[in-house]
Amino acid sequence: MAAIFNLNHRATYLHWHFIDLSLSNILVIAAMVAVFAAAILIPFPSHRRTGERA
Amino acid sequence: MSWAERRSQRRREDESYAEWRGGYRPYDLIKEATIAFVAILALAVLLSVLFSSPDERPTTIRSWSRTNPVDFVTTAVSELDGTSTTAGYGPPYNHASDGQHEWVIHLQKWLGVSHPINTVQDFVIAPLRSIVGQPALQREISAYQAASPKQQQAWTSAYSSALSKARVLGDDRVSVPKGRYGPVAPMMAALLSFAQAGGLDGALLTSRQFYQTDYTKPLMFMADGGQLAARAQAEHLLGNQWGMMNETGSYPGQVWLWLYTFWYQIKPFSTSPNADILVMTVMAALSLLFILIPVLPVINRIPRWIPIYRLIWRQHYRALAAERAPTA
Amino acid sequence: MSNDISPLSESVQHPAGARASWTLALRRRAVAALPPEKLLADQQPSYVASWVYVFGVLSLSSLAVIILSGTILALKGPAWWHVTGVGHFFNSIHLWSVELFFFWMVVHLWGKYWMAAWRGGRKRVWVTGAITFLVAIPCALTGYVSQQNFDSQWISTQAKDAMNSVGIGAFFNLLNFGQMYSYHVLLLPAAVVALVVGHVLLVRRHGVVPPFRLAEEIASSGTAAQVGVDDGTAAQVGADAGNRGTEA
Repeated sequence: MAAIFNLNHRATYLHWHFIDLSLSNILVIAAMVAVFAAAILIPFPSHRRTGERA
Repeated sequence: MSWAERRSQRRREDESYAEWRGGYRPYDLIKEATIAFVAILALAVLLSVLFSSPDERPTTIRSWSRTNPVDFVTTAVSELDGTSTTAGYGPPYNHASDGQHEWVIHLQKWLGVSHPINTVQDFVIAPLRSIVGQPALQREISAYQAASPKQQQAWTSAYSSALSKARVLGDDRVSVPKGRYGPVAPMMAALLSFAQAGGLDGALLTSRQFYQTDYTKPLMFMADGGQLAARAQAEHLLGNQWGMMNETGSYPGQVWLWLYTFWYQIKPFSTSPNADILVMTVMAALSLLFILIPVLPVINRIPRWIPIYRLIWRQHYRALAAERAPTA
Repeated sequence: MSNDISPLSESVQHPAGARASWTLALRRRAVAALPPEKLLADQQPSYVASWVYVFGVLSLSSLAVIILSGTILALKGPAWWHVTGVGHFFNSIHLWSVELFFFWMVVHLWGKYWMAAWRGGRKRVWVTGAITFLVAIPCALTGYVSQQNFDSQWISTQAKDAMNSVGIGAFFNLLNFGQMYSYHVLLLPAAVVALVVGHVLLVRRHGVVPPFRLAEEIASSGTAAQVGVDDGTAAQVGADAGNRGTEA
C-alpha cells in the first residue's frame, strides 16, 4: 500500500554548531511543545458539562 | 526556621495534599477512555495512510561483495590477519583486548567471552574449506595454515597494500598488481566468488544446528567493512550525525533519545575510546535522578517557584477567590 | 446458614483452622485500597479542569494500539510485513502508535512535573511512571532490531557497542534476532504493561494530586475547611483513607 506522502527520500537537516537535527524530528519536538502549551492555555469547558476529561 | 523545622513543615505540607476533601463533579471514566482509544486508533491509521513506514532492504554479503568487491576483499584480509575491528574487539567475542573501561571498572572484560568469534577461522578458513570440487584451493589453504605467522603476515600485508591499487574487472573480480602474496590472493579470489554467489551469507549463519536465528557473524563481518557505514552515512545515521535519533528517509525517528546521543557529540566523549561506557554511566546516573525527582532537593521545588501550575489550575483558584470575596 | 453470596461479603462459615486465609487477607487489602468506587470512579475532583489531564489516557490508548497492532504482526510472523501491503500497513500502525506513545508520554511527564504530582504520598506514581518510560526505551530498541531490514542491521551493529561496554552484551545480544524478537514480543511489553497497570492503580488509589495551595488561601485560615485541604497547621494531619469529602 503506497503512502500518500512518500517519506523515503533524504531528510532535510538543520545544523547549528554541533547540533544536527532532522526537520522531521524538529517538527515532532515543536509539536510536543505546542501541544503542551495549548493544553495549558486553552480554556477547559465549564464543569457543568458531563463527561469531562481527566 | 531551623532545617529540622523546615523539614517538618514540608512533611506536613506534603501530607496535607494526600486527600482532597473538597468538591467533586460527575465524570465518565470509561467513556473518556473509549473516546481516547478511538481517537488514537484513528490518528495512527491516518498517519499510516498518509506516510506508511520505512523498510529499506538489508545489505547482504552477496550484495556488498558485488557492489563493492574491493571493500569486501579488504575486509576479508583484515579478518585473516587479525586487524579487523571484530578481531581486535575483545569480549564478548574474543580476548584480543580488554574492551572499554572506566577507571577500574572493566565490565566488558569481567563479563567474559560469551559469543566467541575467531575471525580467521569463522570468516575465512571455514567458509573456504566448505567449498567443494576445488582441490587446488584446498591446497592453497593448507599451505597458508602451514606457514609461519611471520610468513602469513608478510603475505597479508603485501596484499593489503596492493588493494589500494586494485581494479575491479568486468565480472566483479578484483585485480591487484603483481606481488608476493602467496596463497592469500587465490584464497581471497575464491572467498569473493563464494560471497558473490551468496554462499557466504549462509555459511556464516550456520552453526551447530539446522534452525538459525543468530546473525552475529554475518553482521559483525559486514560491520567490519564499509558498506553498512556508507549506507548509514547517506541516511544520516552515524553516531556523529546524531544518528541515534534518526530514521531512514525523512521519517521522524527516536526523539526521546536526544540526551543519550547528545553526549557522543561533545568532548570528552566524542574523542574517547571508552565513549560507550562513559555515556552509559552518565545516562544511568541521570535516569536514576529522573526516577528520584520527588526527593531531589531544589529540583522538586522548581514547580513551586516557576508557577506554571497557576495556569493549569486557574479555574480552581478563581473559584476559591470568588468564595473568599465578600458577598454582595 | 448464610445465603449471601455477594463477593464483597465474607462467608460466615470458614473451615476450622482457616483463620489465616490468604485469600481473605488479600481480598480485604485489595478492596480497602481500591474499593470499586475508586477503581471505577464516576466523579473527579473539581480542580481537574485542564486539557493537560488528557495526556495520561492518550498515552495509555497509544499503548493499547501498539499492543493490538503488534499482536497482528506477531500472528503473521516477522517476515509478513515485508511481503504484503496489508502487513506493511499494520507495521505502519505499529510504528506510528509507538511515536504517539512516546509523544503523549513525554508531554504527560512535563505536565506531571510542573504540577509536582508526586505530592501527598504519590511518589510511587512518579516512580512507576518514570520507570515505565525507561523500560519502554529498550522495548522500542528490541523492536527496531527485530525489523529484519537495513535499519535493524545498522542499529544492532551500533548499539551493540554500548551494550558490550557495560557487559550487558554478554547475555543480551542485539545481533541475535531470535533473542531480540522474544524480548520484544513478550518480555519487555509484559514489563511495560505491568508497570503501567501499577501506575494507573496507584493513581486510582491516591487520586489526582490537588493543586498547590496559594498564599492567600493559607492566609485566610477561616476558609481552610472550605477549600477542603487541611493546611496542616491546625488540626491533626494524616491520610484519612475513608474520607471522600462532600459534593461541591
